[in-house]
Amino acid sequence: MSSLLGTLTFFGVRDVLITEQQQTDLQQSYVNAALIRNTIYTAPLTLSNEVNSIEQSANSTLILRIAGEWQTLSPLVPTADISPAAMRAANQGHVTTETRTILSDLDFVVGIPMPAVQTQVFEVWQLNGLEHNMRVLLLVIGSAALFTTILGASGGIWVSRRTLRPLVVVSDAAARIAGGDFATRLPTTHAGSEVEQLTESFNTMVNQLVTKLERDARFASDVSHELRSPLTALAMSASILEQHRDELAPAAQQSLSLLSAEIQVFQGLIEDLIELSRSDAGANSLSLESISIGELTRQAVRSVTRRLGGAEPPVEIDPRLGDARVLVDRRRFERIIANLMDNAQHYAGGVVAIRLVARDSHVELNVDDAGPGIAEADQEHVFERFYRGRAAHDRSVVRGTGLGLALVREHVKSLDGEIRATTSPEGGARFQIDLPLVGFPS
Amino acid sequence: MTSLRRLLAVLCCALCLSSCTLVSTSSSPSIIGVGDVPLGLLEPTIPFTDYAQVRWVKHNIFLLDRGGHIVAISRLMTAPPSLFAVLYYETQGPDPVEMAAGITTEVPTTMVVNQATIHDDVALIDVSKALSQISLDAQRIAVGQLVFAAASMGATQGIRISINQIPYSLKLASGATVSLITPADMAYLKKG
Repeated sequence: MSSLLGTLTFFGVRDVLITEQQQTDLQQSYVNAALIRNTIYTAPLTLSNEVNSIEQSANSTLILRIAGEWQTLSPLVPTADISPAAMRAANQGHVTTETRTILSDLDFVVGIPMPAVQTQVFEVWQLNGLEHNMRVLLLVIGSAALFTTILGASGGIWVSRRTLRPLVVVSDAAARIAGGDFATRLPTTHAGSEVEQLTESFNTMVNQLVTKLERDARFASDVSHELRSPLTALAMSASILEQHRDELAPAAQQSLSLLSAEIQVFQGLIEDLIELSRSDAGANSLSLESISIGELTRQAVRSVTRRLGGAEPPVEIDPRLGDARVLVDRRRFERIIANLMDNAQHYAGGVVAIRLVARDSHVELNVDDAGPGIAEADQEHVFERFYRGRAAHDRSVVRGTGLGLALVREHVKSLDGEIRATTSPEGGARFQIDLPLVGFPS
Repeated sequence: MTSLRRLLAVLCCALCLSSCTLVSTSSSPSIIGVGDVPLGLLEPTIPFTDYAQVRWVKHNIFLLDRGGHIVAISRLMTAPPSLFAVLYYETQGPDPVEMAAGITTEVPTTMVVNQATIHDDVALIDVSKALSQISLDAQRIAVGQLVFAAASMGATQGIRISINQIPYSLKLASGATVSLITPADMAYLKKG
């Protein structure tokens, strides 16, 4: 904008200066022409002196055309540079002005015919001074425009940063809350009424959100606890019936099998829900121990295999790990392994291998299954609660609670780890868990 | 925003380009309206006079060619030309172009013509002493130039010269001293 204004100012001032200068020169030319006319009339023999005197006082150059013949005192003046159009106009009795290159880069030429003395006067005014003034003006305006542009830009950046700073704080706080840090609040400032209002609204919104989440978690926890007792009674009843299965009719036996299976699923769901609720509420206590990751994994796999039945999957340990240790809650770690193996058994034909790989400062625990793998679009979502991927729509697989992988993620997070679903080298799904190492041998 | 940036870029380019020639030359002259020209400059006669006009005519003065012969050279003079004007131009000598062509004069440029009249076809000319301060040979040639100039204005019988009102006589090449110098006395200075 300052460049635009500077440009407009320059062109405006330039036009005014040029017009003023040319008008002044034109008026002076009229006066000089009248002096020449009077000299020719009264004392023609002093014409040369008069022309000399005018040239010196007006700082211009005069070219006379008397009775069609050029008369000039200065041999430097090329009379041929007076334009034919100006000469024609003078012959026709018109006064003309034009800007030409004759004595300097830029000359203002005024042509005045004086029929009363059969003489045409061409007065050449050099505009070098004006050109110099223009360059100075351009330099001044250009510098001013540059200065104001830099000043304006700097001021604009400073003001916008100052104005947007509260929004950056809000954005950071929102990001922390989205990351699960519900204790985040905006600090109360006195930066201005709008910012204060925004801070209050934001904190109120977060408070309400946290309250709602806590209420929802409490509700789920309460419901789960309330359901657990009648469910336990149902399970016991089913167990008693199982003991008398042989006495039941075949149709009743089939119904009993269905009932037992559903009760088992329901119990699993309730257990998972209670655990998730405790996790959401932060009520799950951690009992951290520094344990050899290799040994821990072997024990967990063995224990889970015993519970689930079937063959124990191979555990491949990177020899570089040696006796590398991790700081974990043993119960949660076993739950992670159990859920992943259970998931593989239910949906992917079991675990192919469990591999431990040493990385810089952490260990990579890979649980690879024998299934067809997880579609890339589903890999991001398999850890969401009750997320149903492609396998869930397959009626041949056993129905799960839909919370197993969600619980795995919660437990991994509680151990400062990360989990992601990828594809194993064998083509099946790979659940990759990164856990920080403590006391990793260098 | 993009168009505004483009506009700014164009303006900056125009500014940079215009800085090369800040004031541009005109392709054709601008004509000032007759009514806008002051001081009666375009009037056919000189204002505040009785319809006076000045016209110019060409009249000969006499200078010297490369060979030292007296030759006629024309000069523009206001009409009608006077003897005084003709003698004034004689004292002005050749212009730069004529000098470049080898035209010279022996009439001193410092000589001032005080008075010049013609009476009974004889010119009476009073000049400053610059004429007497040049050599005799130069004086003969200078006087010859004046004689032919006066003859062209009607002084066919010759000229009488005075220097600051003191009568002047010229010793001719023949040895005779004369106060009335006639064209015949100076005919030898002309070519052919």
